[in-house]
Amino acid sequence: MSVQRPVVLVIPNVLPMLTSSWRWVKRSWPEVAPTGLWLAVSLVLSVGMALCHSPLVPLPGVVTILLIPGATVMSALRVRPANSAGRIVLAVCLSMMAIMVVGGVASLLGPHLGLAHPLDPLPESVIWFLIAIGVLAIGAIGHRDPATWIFEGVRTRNVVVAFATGLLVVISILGVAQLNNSGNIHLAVFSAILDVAVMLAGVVGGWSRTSRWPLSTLLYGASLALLLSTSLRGAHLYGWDVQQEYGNAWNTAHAGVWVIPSNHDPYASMLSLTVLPTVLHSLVKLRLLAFFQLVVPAILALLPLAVFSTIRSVPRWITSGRNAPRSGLALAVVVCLIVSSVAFSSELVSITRQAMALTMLTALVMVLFDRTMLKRPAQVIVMLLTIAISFTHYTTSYLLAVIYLCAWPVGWFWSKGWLGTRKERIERHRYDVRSRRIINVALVVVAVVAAFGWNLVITRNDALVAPVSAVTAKGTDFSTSTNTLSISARQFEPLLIKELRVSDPWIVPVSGSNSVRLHSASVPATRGVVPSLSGTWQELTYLVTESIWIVLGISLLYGIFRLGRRRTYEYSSDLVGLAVSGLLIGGILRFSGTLANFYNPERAAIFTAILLAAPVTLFLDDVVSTLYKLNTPRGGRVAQILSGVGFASLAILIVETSGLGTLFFGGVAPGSLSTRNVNVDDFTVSTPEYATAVWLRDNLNSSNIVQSDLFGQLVLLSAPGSYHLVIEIVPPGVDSGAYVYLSTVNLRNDISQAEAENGAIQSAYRSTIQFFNRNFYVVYSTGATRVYK
Amino acid sequence: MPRIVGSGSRGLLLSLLVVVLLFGFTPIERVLMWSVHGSFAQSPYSSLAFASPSDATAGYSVGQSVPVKLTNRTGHSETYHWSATEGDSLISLGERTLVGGQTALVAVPSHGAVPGTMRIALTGSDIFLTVPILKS
Repeated sequence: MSVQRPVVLVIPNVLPMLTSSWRWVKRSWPEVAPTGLWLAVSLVLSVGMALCHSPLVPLPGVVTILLIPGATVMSALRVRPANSAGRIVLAVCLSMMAIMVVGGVASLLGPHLGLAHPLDPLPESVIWFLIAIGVLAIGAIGHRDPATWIFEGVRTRNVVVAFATGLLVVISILGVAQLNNSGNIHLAVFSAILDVAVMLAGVVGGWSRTSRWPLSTLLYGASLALLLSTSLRGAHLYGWDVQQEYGNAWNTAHAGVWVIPSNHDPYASMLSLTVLPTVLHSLVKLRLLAFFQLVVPAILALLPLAVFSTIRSVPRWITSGRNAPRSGLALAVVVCLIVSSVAFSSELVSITRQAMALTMLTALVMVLFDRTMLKRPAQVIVMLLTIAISFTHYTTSYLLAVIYLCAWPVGWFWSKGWLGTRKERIERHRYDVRSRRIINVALVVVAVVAAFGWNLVITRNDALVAPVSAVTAKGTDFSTSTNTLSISARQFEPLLIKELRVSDPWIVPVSGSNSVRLHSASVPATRGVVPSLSGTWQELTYLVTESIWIVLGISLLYGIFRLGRRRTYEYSSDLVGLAVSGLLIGGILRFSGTLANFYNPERAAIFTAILLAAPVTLFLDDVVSTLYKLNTPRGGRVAQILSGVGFASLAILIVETSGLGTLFFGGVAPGSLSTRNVNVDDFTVSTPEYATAVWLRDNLNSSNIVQSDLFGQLVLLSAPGSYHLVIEIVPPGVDSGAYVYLSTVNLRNDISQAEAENGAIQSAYRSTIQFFNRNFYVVYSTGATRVYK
Repeated sequence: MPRIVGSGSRGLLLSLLVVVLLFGFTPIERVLMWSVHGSFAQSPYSSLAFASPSDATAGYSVGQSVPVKLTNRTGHSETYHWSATEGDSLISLGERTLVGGQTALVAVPSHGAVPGTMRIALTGSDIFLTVPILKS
């Protein structure tokens, strides 16, 4: 027999509870009022903008979700980098981690709890509303407001400069809009010149040790402007990998849930390419295209900022008696090693998984080297970021695990005094300055387990299969060139046919296809203002670029064997360990012909640059100080000449990587500064091309074969279908039953491109349109594109 | 909100408000884009496709209608004139008006065609399809 509790007895119990809760909320509200207001203002702005049909509707939401969750983690762990720039970088990285974890957990648990599409807008809104309540509760309990925690101490000057720097971004966006729409490059060129000039002016303006130039803001604004000029180029996405990344994001957003891919696809295994864009899409109505074109560059522009924050503060881990390095010098190092690297300026923006992972890695290095943080919370943050990198980018997580594995013993050797530094000096210094060693066995184990656990055990993706097989078969092959070789169509044709007979023996060619001969086509390039100096300019840029490796090596040796012995307060075991392993891994990836096919040497170089930026700054700061101490007239002249050479080298690097050098001396300019050349043909996608890819995806199935050339492949990655894709349309290599996609470049510019030997050899030839017209039927056409069957 | 330190913080907040209102609630971005003749709008296009691509390449008998999908993504209403030809012989023609974003199924007659290849094209463009015509 059931006994009903009288209602009258329950109410007296509930009422006091509610009253006391309300009192607690009222009492705690002032503690978290800034964050509460932030969330409210963000919501009101989003609704208001939506009512006005503003294109900036997602902006308040994106800024909020990329800052507040991370700020909450930081305030809960009482971790705060020394400067505002560092705090923002760390908050964004931890927020990305939080979004991926929340979305990943929701995807894994949701279907078991009756929620089939947990990443859809409604479930995500409920989840994040509860998280917002949690954020405020955590802040109230810990008496630390998350927004205040990261923005405390922001000065009027910083905000004013941020506004002014926003102009660089606006000009860049307008420049690329003009280039996309009318083909006019004037504003785009002006924007690039402005960005380069701002960075070089920052180096000069920040040269004095007492300079108060707002270099962080300038660096972020100029970097973002440069990145946007590339990411916004074309009607769709710019670059190769990003097309496939977009396809994965689209699939996840369409399904409303992330599932571990059954086909072991490494891209689909990354939460950064699936869950992160989908959550932002569902929650704040951010278009997936805008995620890749705008949000990722905004995140990537934090990378140089984080490196700058790290290296300008490096000697601050000492007690006293030494100034920080010149801000201008620190900026010069960042511009030289990071912003001027080919990977940063033109590649990473279209390899978004690595862009996000490298930004996290840089934040991790920043925390490692920031001695204003307590050891344990810093270790927790480093551990969290290490784990987050494993589901952001497989290669970065593998490399990080290897780097920890090398860095830990090297650091241990150094701390024991076995690298030439007397142990008692290190210990005395450690005792004095609350020094700490972050990289320990636990961290190494976490990194290895996270990298291999996520990629090989949980998602079982096949990212490692091809490189491991290649290294097993061929070794590292340091003697092979890492450059792609371009050969004539005549030389290329027999090579390709031979390769196809081995790789795709099932192809049944159309009769008579062997009689079709290929004719080489020249790829369009920029003529330049002074083409006669093109060769000299190329040699000069090559010399300067390769000299960086020498500077990296010398800096490391100088650090270990001079600073490490004489001024141990400047070097830590973590710094030595990371720098040695960074140079080692970077060198292997840079010079291995086998690995270059899987991991671009430029992308490896930026990895090394992040880990070696601090030793380079310390070395150059000593060199500059020594030069300035030369009192003789001859010494002064030497100082002036060397400073001039250094600045000129920096200018050469940034002018070249921004594309301005090519415009002046001729060559293949980046797509961001060209109306039409091979970069534009290779990396941009037009609306009809994307429509054709979508048509193929929607109308063909797994029994169909689609063939296209290298130009055409680009867009097919963006809307991947279940069909079998073969990247070849050289007539003898075309199957008689295949669908053949011809892109705008193939049709209108009469150029096709093919590659052999895993991309080591390439050739451009005149499109064989007549062959397809004679032997196939046209089943889809936009005028600019065509599909044959 | 976190406090902004330094002189002029009140004026700065006002400026911030103005910038937010300007960029968030006015069509200033359209004015800026217009001033430089810039745009991120999708480029317009039209397309022709077979309703069933695999059936189409198997061929249609003489007299059968060939179903094709005509799509208008030009952003505005457009009247399309289409024609079906075999060599120099005109087999059929017609017109269809579609509003921006619309897709319509058009049945192209093949009466009068002979076994061979029929070309279905939109007049004044490079947009065309080809289809095998079989004996009836």
